[in-house]
Amino acid sequence: MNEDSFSARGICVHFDGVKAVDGVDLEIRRGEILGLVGPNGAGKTTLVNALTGFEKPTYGECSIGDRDVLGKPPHAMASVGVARTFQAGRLFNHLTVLENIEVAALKRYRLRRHAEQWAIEVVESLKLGAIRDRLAGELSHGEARTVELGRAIALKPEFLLLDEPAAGLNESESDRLVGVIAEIPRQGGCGVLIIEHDMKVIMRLCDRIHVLDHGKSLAEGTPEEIRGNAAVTEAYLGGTVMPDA
Amino acid sequence: MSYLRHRVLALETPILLSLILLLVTFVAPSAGLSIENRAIVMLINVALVVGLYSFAGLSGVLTFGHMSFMGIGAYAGALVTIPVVAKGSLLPDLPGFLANAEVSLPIAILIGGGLAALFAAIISLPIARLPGLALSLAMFAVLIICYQVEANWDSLTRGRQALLGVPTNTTIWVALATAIGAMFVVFAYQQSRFGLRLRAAREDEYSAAATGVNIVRERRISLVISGALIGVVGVVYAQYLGVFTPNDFYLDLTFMTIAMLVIGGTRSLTGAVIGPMLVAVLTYTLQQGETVTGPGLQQVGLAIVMVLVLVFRPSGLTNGKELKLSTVVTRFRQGRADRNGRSSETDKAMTAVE
Repeated sequence: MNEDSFSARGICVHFDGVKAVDGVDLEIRRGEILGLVGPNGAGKTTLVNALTGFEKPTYGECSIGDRDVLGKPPHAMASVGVARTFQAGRLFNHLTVLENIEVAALKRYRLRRHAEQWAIEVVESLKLGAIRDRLAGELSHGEARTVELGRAIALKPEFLLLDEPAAGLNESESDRLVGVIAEIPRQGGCGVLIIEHDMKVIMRLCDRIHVLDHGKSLAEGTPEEIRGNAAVTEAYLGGTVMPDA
Repeated sequence: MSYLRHRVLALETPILLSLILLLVTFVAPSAGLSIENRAIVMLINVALVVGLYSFAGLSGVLTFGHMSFMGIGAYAGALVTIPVVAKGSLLPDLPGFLANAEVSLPIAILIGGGLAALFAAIISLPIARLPGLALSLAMFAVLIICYQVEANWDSLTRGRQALLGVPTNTTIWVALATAIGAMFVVFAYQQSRFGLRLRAAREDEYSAAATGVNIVRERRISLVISGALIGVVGVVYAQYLGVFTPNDFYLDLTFMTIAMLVIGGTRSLTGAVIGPMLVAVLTYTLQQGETVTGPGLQQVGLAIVMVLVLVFRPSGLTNGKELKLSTVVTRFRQGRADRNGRSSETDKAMTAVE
């Protein structure tokens, strides 16, 4: 396996006989964006949970370079450079925007003074300066999603797993967020995995796409390959044609 | 210069709260001995609830067992300060090093606080791993264990009989110093990287973990700090009482301190300070009422107030806000604007916890 990749082999997550994820191989390479798509209930979020320590896989291997990272608790995954966001958008509601991001910055800078500086840089780069002292619980949905992304970025991750970051955003908010996400691999070569239902977003962002259905890998390839894959079109889109990038 | 100014401004909240307590300390003695004693108890309660807040408020896990640290501090502090002569007749079976120990209050505070912190560190090994409600209940179990040990280890504590002869070193100024000290320690902790991480975990355990917060470790640190503080308060309180039994650190006190924190507000240091102050006034009033209604009114009244706060203002009277000068000024201006017929947005004017 590549030195610069976060790879999972044969990941299975079974709950009382339900095979939510069943033998998935997946590789997130540094500097690229991997799309993870599939119908509702395909096991996308469960897979991300398994890769970030929130769910212990029933079987499988998981490593960064040569380093085995399977079964590490979530905070330890953050320490080895794996960050994530949540589908439901979970912020620290009674902390300010800046404090939210500073919690993550503390993982990279021991002192609050230094962490705060880095958090301010992240806030400025995401153009959140105007709301940095507001409580996270008072933000609009669009602002909250951006702050959540900022919090993950502030960890300076080597691999970033985004679970439907654009869910519930209007078109212009979504465009802005997609623009930010597209920049992530270019800054420091972070590898990104993104779960997203909007195929336009996926086609525009991703270098490779991994399709999941009923807990199993259905296909993997470039956007072009996936667009031309009959099985994917059948399972995921019920026969309709995928939109152009 | 501007850096210094920034530092001092950052301490605005504990400084303002200290000034309020200082005022109480100056005024109370002039109103007679009974009021002075009530003021001492109130100041001790402020220190106690601030200690409780450093765990329950910052972690979001209400604990029913922190008064066990108070008992440990009280007994440890008393056993090293009771005059050697008195100990000979009171506690004839005391081990030699304790029987011959007679130290000053500051040393007793170090011993009591240190012992409580050590105890907290030991119990935190399993307990900090537990999720919210299980942690609360485990702490309650710790309280019961400590109470039973204190009530039955006759050679060390005189069991259920009162431990007497404790020197009464706690003046109103000692109580004030304890309260102010506790406030500054806890404020510094709250603003530190440890406090920030603990507060993040209070808001959302999952995202905190995903953001690299080791929740078990942060709760462990918080248990030790709160244990040490409450242990210190235990030493000071025992030196106010002079005579006490294990019951002084048991269910009544547990209920009282939780009520104070809940009424003041669990999410701000200001809440932990004004809660005990309000309850002091409330219990004084209710106790006057007890001469008419008979005993029990105080506890019933306090319980009702706590329920009312939980129903109508679940985050307590302070609702997560800290006392700040900017707040007071804005409120004042808002008030004038109101009188000029503009709408009130006082809640928005309150500054958020920083």
